[in-house]
Amino acid sequence: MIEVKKVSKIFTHAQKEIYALNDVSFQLSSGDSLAICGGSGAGKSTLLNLIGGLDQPSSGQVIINGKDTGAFKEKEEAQFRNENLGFVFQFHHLLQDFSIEENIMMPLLIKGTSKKQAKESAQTILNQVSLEKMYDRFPRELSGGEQQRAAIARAIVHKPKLLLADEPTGNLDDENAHHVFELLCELNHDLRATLIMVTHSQTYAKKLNHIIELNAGVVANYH
Amino acid sequence: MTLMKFLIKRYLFTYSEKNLRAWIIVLSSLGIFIASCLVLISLGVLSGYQRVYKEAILGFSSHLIIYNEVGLTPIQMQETETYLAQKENDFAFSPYHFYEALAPGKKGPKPIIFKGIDPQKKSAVYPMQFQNLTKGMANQVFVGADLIKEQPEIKTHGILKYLVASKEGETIKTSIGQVPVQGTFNSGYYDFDSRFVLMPMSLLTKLFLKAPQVSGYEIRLHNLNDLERIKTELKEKFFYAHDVLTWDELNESLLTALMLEKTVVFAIAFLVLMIACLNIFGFNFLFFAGRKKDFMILSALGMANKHLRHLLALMSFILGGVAVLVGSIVALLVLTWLKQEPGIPMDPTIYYVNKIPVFFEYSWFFLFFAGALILCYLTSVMAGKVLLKRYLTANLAD
Repeated sequence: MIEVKKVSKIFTHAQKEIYALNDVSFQLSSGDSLAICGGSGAGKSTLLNLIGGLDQPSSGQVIINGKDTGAFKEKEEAQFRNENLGFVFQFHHLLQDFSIEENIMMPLLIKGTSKKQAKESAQTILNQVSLEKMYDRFPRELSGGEQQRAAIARAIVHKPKLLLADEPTGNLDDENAHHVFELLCELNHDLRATLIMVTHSQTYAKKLNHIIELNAGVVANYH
Repeated sequence: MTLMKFLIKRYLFTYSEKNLRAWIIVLSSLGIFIASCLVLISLGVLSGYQRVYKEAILGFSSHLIIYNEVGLTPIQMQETETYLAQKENDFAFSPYHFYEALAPGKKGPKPIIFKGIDPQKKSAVYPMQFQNLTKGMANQVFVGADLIKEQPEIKTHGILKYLVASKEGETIKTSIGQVPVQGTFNSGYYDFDSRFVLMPMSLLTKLFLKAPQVSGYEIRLHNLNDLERIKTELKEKFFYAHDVLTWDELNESLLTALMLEKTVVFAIAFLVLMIACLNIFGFNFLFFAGRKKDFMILSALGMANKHLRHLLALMSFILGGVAVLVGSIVALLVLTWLKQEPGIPMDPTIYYVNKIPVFFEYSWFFLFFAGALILCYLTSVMAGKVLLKRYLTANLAD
């Protein structure tokens, strides 16, 4: 269960307060899926970062499974992210100095899982995203679609309860975008993980359970 | 720890491409390596100087002198000697008197000093290296080893020449006097070894004085820790007639200059090391600038800021530690080489020593290594704190 309560995010620029988000509220049940839509600068990525605890709201609360993420201490927050959240970014953000397999192992290693066990889990996920032959390649050696699939694999290897995707198809051609979107939906269904995805594509947005439309930081539509 | 090891190994020691990071790492480490070497070698050489001078001064001059500016009267001599003789459990002593003269040298007359002592106490009061000449005469006259360079005939004929001035009416005439020599002494300090001649008091009196004269007594303690106690006792006993000075008071200007030089050079070298350690700051900033996305990703994956700070700190600590360790080993090798013969020769007429003197103890290297590691660690931790204050999502948009 995710509850976003009257969340605002204010940035100060040239002594002026700019509302990136203003009084945003919504609820999601476990296993649900939500598309966040809106134009550039509408506050989509800001909202996703606040839900993921990568940033703190200026006011309001983000409550995930009954826990107020704003009340976490630094270590608790990191642990919460590691155990409950999976991130997929538009530009995949894979670690360039590490192989695909090592990238996928990373959330488990951070959690304290042994290297051997992390490797086994990574191999299972690599099969799932059809990258089993690419395990020892470095990110720069993969195509855009493959990189994004690797990023998804990394986001789900530790079986998160909440999958956050920031325009995961935004940088891909139609075929790869479709493939990545299908993969995310499959994981949402199979893992019963809540999926929140920022997207510009109305086609993909309509395939998810809920859509929230942002306009200049304000919720314009939620259904 | 497995994760830290994994990340550090990859970030520091894997170079898949030639990049700025590799150069920064090499240059930062090189700075710390050079600074470490510099600090330890400076310390070894300056301590060598200090030790050579101290040993020479203590070998030649003794620990304490009790003296009277106008010389001691026969009664004072008797009284002093009687008292000092009672204290022979604490020290050995010898009367002394100086007579200044000129001796012919390679570049013209050179001032020399004849020092009258008690030859029976020579070894006890002046623990220097004495060596008999092949053609020497057993008369207890010993010249400084470096005086032979000015007068080679000392070695070949066992004779020391000196100039004697005598007044005949209104004119002063100069003639050459000679004294047979038994051998040489070597204090290790050119200033002493090129100017002094030790001889029995009786011979000094016979050659240069009209009547026996004693300037004072030189005292060598069995235990240097008794210096202040003995000095106080002697001062209390002879306060009415004599002065008492310790070896460091006698050579205060030289020892102060040496200490000042050592302190200043050490402070400069230590500042160089500090600057080198601050390179770590630079390394961290540049490393962070190049890897900020990695840090954001690791943070998003659930790595705590505390662990990211540790990661930065550990990397700097390893770089600093390796550089300091290699610097210490190289410094040790250089100092060991300098210690051996011939080392680096020096002009004794300018520096008073024949080669660069070196002194070190192995414990210094451990202490320095530990100190430098702490310094590296503190600068690394500080850099980590400063760098990771910025919230990491700022890097996501870059």
